[in-house]
Amino acid sequence: MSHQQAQPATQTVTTNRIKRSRLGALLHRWGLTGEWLVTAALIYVSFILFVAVFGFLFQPYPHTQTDLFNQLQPPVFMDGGSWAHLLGTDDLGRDVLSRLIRGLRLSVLIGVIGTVIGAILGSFLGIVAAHFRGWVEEVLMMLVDIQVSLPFIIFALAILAFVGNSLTILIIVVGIDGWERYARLSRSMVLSANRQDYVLAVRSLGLNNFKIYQRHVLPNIMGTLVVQATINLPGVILLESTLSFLGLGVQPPMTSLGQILGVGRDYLILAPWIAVAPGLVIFFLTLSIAVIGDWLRDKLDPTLK
Amino acid sequence: MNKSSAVAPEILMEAKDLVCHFSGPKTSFFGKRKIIHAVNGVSLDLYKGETLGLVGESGCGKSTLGQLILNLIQPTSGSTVFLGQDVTKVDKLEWRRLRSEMQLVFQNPLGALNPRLLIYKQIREPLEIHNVGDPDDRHAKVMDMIEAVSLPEHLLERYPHQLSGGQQQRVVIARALINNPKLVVCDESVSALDVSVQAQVVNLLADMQKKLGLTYLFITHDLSIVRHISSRIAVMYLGRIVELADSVELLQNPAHPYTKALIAAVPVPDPRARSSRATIRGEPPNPFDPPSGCAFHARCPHADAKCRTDLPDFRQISDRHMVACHHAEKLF
Repeated sequence: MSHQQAQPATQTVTTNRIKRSRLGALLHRWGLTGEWLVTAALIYVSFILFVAVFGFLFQPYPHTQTDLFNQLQPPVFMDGGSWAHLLGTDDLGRDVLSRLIRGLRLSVLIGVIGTVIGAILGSFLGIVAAHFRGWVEEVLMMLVDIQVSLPFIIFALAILAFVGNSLTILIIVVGIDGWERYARLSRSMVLSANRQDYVLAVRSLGLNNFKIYQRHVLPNIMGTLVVQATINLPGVILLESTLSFLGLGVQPPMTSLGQILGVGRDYLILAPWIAVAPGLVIFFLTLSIAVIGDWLRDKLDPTLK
Repeated sequence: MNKSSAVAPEILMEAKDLVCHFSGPKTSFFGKRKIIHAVNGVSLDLYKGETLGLVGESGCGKSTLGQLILNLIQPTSGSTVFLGQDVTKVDKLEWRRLRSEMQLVFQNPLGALNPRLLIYKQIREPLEIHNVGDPDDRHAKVMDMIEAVSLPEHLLERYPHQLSGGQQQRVVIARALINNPKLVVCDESVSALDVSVQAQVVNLLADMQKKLGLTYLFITHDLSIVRHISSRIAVMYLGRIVELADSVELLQNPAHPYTKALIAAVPVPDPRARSSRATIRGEPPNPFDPPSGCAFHARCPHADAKCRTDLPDFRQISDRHMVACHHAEKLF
């Protein structure tokens, strides 16, 4: 029995090897063979990025155009749906698909820039703390503790309420969220990296501190920080959604996924598609980024190859 | 030291009264920090072209002394004079230049290599740091050096973890020697290797010494290795050097009870030899709270009242043989 089974299995393997398609070759080169989840996640994230950048070219209607004769129209695959509005319309008769495309752009923008701000700020402060030790470290770590013990939503609401609301401020606020995680992480990793013999070795070779960090410490902690960023990015997108949902994020006429979700809440029973469409997009986006982050961590570590 | 000697060898490095204290953690919020006396007044000369073995048990401060001599950590007091220049007082630029003159070879070769950098780049790095020659020169030097340490060329495009321990240590040695340093501190450089590889690396170090005229400070806890490579041996105990003599002299006529015990502790491949050996009782003392008088008195079979109160001088008891023990003459 086992002998019989072994025969065709070997054959499939050989034919697979011979018949590897162009796509297969590409997957192999990127180390993606067999990594279907990662491949799917990469395709999805690329698609989302493409839509975020070029989506306006395919946008069927302006996202602010109302059509009061066609309020709360269901999507095309539901009873009463029409091809005019593929994903239906909202309470003001605005096309959900158009709003989704437009909202995606802003959500991705805020998510990416916010994450970059948080990652750079936090990692830099963590490295500073670990390098100087002493009171610098104490002050920075105290700030971290304050940030951790403060519910960030309250903090963000306070800033947005006092300073006022603009896209720039919103991006900075969601960027600040999470800096303490990068700071803690990079501090502890730099502390341990600085005790490694290879750092002592290049120091004893006469390399200056900046180059030591650039050439030796950062490349060794980068993988973990990148993974932290991919864990944090969904959080930033969700935070923007939460703030917009609460009415303190993106203000109309601009729109984001969170804002659409917030509007959809009122019609959850009557017209669930308004909330479900952006909800699913956010869900798969955050999931895909997390999967990619996990995969990247393994890719970035040469000792795991 | 040793001015009576007929041929006065040239002094490469002179350590004078080196003291290095580290502050430990606070015991309580208002409490004082405790001080670790890692190195407690060491004076040592290194002669050009020699290998000085530095032995002692873990925690006695031998690695700290090695780093003090390389000026990688600042001494609390004392000075190190390298070729007539006090290197504890040099400015940043000069300190950086001195880095190509003195180098360190580590105990754990894998830890001493950046896990994410190709072997080739790591060997080449010292040349980049000190701007040696043009890129072609640098490449040629790397190739010469890997040939000198007999490292196969195909390993250059690998990462450290893909090499064996012996190969890794060759890379570390190649990187340390590529700038033609004068002084190399080998800190337990072969202790982490297999015995067969140990011999290869020790021979390699000896070959490189002949080729390049290097001076080694060879730090180890293993007397059986140090006797093969060292011309002189210094024995360290709790931050002080307790005995210093030529290798043969020290191993055959140890004067300090601690040295005697160390030598007796070297394994002998004879199961019946065990009973006659002197062993050291007890634990090494706490460096936070060093004992009064001779630091070894609590573990010494010959200790008397004087040992408990007076610190013995580090004195000469015969030609080229220094020891710090009140009873050295009696025991010698």
